[in-house]
Amino acid sequence: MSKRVSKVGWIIMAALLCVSLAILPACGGGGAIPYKNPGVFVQQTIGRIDSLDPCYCYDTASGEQIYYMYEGLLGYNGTSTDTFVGLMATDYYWVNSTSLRFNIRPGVRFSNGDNMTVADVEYSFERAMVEDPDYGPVWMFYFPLLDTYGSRNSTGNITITSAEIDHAVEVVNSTCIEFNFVRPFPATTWYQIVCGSWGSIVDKAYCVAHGDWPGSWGNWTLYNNPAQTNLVLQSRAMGTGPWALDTWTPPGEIKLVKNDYYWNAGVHAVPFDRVLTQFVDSWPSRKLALLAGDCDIAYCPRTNIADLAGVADVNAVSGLPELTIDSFYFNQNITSTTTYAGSKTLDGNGISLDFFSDINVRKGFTYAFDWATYIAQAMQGEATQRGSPFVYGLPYFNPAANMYSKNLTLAKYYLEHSAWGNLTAIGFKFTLIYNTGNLVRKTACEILANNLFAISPNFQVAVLAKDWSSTMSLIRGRTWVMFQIGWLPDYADPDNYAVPYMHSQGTFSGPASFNNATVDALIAEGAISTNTTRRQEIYYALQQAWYDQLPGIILAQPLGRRFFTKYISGFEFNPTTCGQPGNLYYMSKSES
Amino acid sequence: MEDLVRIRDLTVRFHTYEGVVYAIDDLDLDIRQGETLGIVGETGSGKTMTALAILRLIPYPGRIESGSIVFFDKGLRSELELLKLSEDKMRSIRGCKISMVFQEPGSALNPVYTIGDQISEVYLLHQRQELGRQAKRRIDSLLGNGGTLAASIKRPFWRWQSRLYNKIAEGSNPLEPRILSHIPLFRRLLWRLKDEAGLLTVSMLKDVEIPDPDRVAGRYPHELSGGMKQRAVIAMALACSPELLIADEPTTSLDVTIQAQMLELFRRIKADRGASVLFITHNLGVAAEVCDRVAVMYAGRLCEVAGVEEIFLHPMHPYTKALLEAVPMPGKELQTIPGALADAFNPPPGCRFHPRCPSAMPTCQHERPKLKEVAKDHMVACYLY
Amino acid sequence: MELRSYIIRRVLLLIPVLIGVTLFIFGITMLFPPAQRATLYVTNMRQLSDLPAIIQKYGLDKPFFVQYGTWLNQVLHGNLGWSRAISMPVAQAIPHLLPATLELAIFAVPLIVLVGIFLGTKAATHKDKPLDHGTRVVAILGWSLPSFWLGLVLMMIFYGYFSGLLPPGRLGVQMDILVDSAAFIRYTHINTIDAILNLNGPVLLDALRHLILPVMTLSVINMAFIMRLMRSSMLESLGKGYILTARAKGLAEKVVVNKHARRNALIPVITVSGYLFAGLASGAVITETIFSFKGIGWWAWQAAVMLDIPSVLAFALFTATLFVVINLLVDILYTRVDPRVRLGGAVQ
Repeated sequence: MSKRVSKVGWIIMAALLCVSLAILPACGGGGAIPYKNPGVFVQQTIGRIDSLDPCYCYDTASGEQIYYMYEGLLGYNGTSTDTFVGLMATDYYWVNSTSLRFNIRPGVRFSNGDNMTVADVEYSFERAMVEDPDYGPVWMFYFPLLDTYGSRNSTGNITITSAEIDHAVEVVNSTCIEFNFVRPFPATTWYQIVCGSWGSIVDKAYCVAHGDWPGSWGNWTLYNNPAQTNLVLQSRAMGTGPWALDTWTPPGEIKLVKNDYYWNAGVHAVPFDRVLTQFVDSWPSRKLALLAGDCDIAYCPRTNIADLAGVADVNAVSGLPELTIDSFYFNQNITSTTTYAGSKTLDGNGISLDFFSDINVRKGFTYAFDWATYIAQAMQGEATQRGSPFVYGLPYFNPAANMYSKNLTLAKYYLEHSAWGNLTAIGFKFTLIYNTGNLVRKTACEILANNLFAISPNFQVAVLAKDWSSTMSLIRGRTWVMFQIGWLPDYADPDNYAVPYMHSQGTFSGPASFNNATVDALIAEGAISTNTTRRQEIYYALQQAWYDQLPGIILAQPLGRRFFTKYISGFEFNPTTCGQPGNLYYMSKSES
Repeated sequence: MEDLVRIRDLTVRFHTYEGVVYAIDDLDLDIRQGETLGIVGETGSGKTMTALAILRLIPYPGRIESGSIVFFDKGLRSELELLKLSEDKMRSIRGCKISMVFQEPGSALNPVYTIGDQISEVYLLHQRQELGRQAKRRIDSLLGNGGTLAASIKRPFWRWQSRLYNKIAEGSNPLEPRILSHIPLFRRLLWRLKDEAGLLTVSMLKDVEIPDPDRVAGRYPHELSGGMKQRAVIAMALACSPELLIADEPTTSLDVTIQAQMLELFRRIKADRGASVLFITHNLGVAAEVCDRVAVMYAGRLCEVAGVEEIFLHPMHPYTKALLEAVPMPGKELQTIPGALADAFNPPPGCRFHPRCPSAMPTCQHERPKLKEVAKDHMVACYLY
Repeated sequence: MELRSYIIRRVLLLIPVLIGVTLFIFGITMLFPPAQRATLYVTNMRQLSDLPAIIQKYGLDKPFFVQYGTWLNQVLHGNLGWSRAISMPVAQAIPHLLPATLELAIFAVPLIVLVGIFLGTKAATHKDKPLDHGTRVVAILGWSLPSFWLGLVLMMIFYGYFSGLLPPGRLGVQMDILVDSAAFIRYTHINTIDAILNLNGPVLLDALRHLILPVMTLSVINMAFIMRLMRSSMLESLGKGYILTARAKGLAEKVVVNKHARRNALIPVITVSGYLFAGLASGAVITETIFSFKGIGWWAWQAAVMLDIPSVLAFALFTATLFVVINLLVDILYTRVDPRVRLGGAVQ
């Protein structure tokens, strides 16, 4: 009998367990965050590393690791995006309008103990231009130095000569290197370019020993456009940065170890013996790791920032303006194969393929957007409306630029006076697409759709989710009606925004068929103008042109957040390190 | 003649979701020493349940509700009330003093063990001491002979083994071999028991006239014919020379020629061993061939018990008569019993046969007829007598 | 049939299986337009304008059989391609990721199978009694709980509520640094096994600590099936004639159940356990993702999301091979458990 009772008891236990399982998630971990892993900086974030080779890497997660392990000639000066400090260079000066010299810092050693010499600097830049992998970042060197966007034409044949590359980067003497530009080029822009991960100085001897381009011109073309499998620095690294590669075990984590030879360690010791970056896909997992002290910083998606609000021992740094902005693009020439434009004619059941080529339609749509709701709902209040893609933090940002605001009366007026007639009477129907899982973009779509419907029930906009790979190819295929996209800069120069957003061949404006000769001319001039006053005029004009021409609806510049444990100090925000912990070298970890 | 088994007032019921099944109702039956008692009846009349009740193996949800089954243990020369024995004690009787042969030789043998393994199991279970003695004797003979180097090296091991098997032979569950038999690898140290059981198995297989018994012992059931399997099952049942062998329709699923051989085997076994046999069959012809006495059952109750000749020549119960009429014979029109077998959930009151009985009287409908001895050794439960 | 010729026959059979499977998967990926497949090669928004060049370069707009032929030709030359999902050659990706997955499987499968068999047996021998109902409740829970929910709840309790007790990941930071140091030799990259081979107690304990939750999640979800299967198979076996024979022999109930009934009841469980192992060894996506135990499953999922076709195809090759091999082992194991079964034939 007692046996039977115990079995009944067991079932009750099981039932209780189930109930408690349902209740417990409500109670989060209380208590203080314990101090763990002294001397080790642990970051938990999302994404993945694609390549550790500076001449190949073109994504932020890989670039961040390269920043820890390598240094370029220059670095951004603290929080600034247009002043610089010398890293591998001690100073720099223009010999004439097309020749720039850098004096190389003496006594710098790579993490294997090799001395960093002027030959390594020359090799680093020439190697990048020799290899120039497809779709890589090396165009940023080619454009100012050789006035081309790469070493190959569209059919893949090499169009430059070894002499051109050789001449572009020349050793002057054992302490000085010279860049020779094809024409005068904005100095700040070039300094920003060499601050990028692609400007990292690599160890020539190490590369050559591992089968990389030997630095000679005999058969350099063999090394051009290597497959990722053949990249020598794909999963190796040998730089002069504060940390060196220990192990990279994709997809889980990358471990760095302190560079014992770091040149500045005498002045400022390298703060962490180890730097670990762990790629953890699930937010609850990252959050719990932060609260358990198992990581020092955890990436928190914008939609989840309330989870960490007011948690003791978490140091939430907020209000960090990121150099990125989302915008809606109007597709002014939709491809006829589209399935998102309804009947593809403006008959009340669709839109015509050139629907958005009318400025009044674009204005009407823009007035129908509600930035206040967008910032409150989608961005959790942490964003600022901007009038053009030229965001705060960039040189030549115009704080007084014109901006639109929600005005349904004006929206109705413009839509009633479109080139296609009175749209409230005709009506239209199309589908807005956002990439699956992006709740911020989904909210933006819904705001626009709802407001248009509020103007007239004849304005019917459906909202649909598509996975990322399809959204990308649909943008290219121009089958979208309106698309929403953001941009991470290569370097903090307005030109890097002007081209993709406004040039007729731009990454976004191209597929959207935005085409304005005046704008194109301004962009071309601004890209190479060395006159800062003139550049300011140009970029102010472009900001006004956006307001007038309306290639799209600019949304809001997000204000980022970082969530550290209270044990980390010394964080300094530079807008170019979007989504990253920042410059670890000046940070520290201690229990007090 | 003394009774080997005396069943009194045995009642077995099945408590199912649909209701209570009255499988056996107040059954009185004796099995005498050395006789073959046949139980005859239709399917569902409670023949098999009677047999299982004796072994206390009524399957769930069935239960022996009341009654007594007294078994006279010749070895102990005492009477045992089987229904009151502990489960352990009952297990020592099953397969040893009372064993059973089932209807389907195909399903009665476990397909994943060899014939030899399954028969040896009986010896290892019930005759462990005897096997231990045999094994010790064999080791002692090894210890006796040989002065070779190998033998002298092995001698301490043999001595230990001899002691071990002696402990087993002395019985009463000694500690050392008990521990050994629970540890997977050490279990093998007791292999001699298995060997001895194997030898007994082979001789037993020979006894039930299986050709080439050595090879058959190593075979799996599916490698044997139906007749062979049934012989193996019989060998298993006879392994410990039981005092009562229960055979539940042992020939039903076999070919006619094999049936005849099997009946011949049963007759011989009985003659050789003097065991009592409870032979359950629905085939009157088979009963006539092997039985000394026959008991007729209907719907969980006994109708008539008599000597085999008596019952065939002078059947008294209307059901017995109807059964005999239903035996197909050349030149005779086949008779069937009108009506259907009584509903097990809701049996008719009074005599259970009365709804089908040609000579039913009003009393039969509500009064249960008692079993009476109407002639010498002829009992019948019917108001006609 | 002789064992060796049977194995050879089955391995040869693998070739058409692999071709069929990859053709099928290749066919599915071809349903995506070339531009969409080309986005695999894009890591930066700026490369958007390079999509036509990518399509051209990788021949993504060529006819189906040309593309398949190109791939097959590469594979026959030992080149499985580059896995963008994990940024390494596909041929290295599988051995690189397998240890994590195997570590989960070699802990989870025996646990699932042994506990499942034990509970299933108990439920059958206690049919319609409280124990049976109890296991049924557990089975229904396990069957119906979504594994991501269970995993998250377990993590919230054992990592959040009991702060840091049973963390996700494969090793803690300190042990992780230790195993990658020269003092620790990675024989298999399966942490527990390597820890034992290195006679390193702290690493072993830490690895086990990280294994508990994912193994528990996998077990609860998968055990239900084995348990119920074992129960019904055991009930069927217990109803057979030879069980009555065994009881009539005088065998103790424990022997009847454990020796006579269970061995027969195991036969269907062996098949399912084989597939369970194959399934887990080819990855448990959700568990691997929630607990940052990234292995084959995570990789396959990521590759599918990214349309990383070389990886998806390699995963298909791997899984198909695994299933065929496991199937073969199950067949051989069958003949050991059930003498009626012959290799390459049915029950006689």
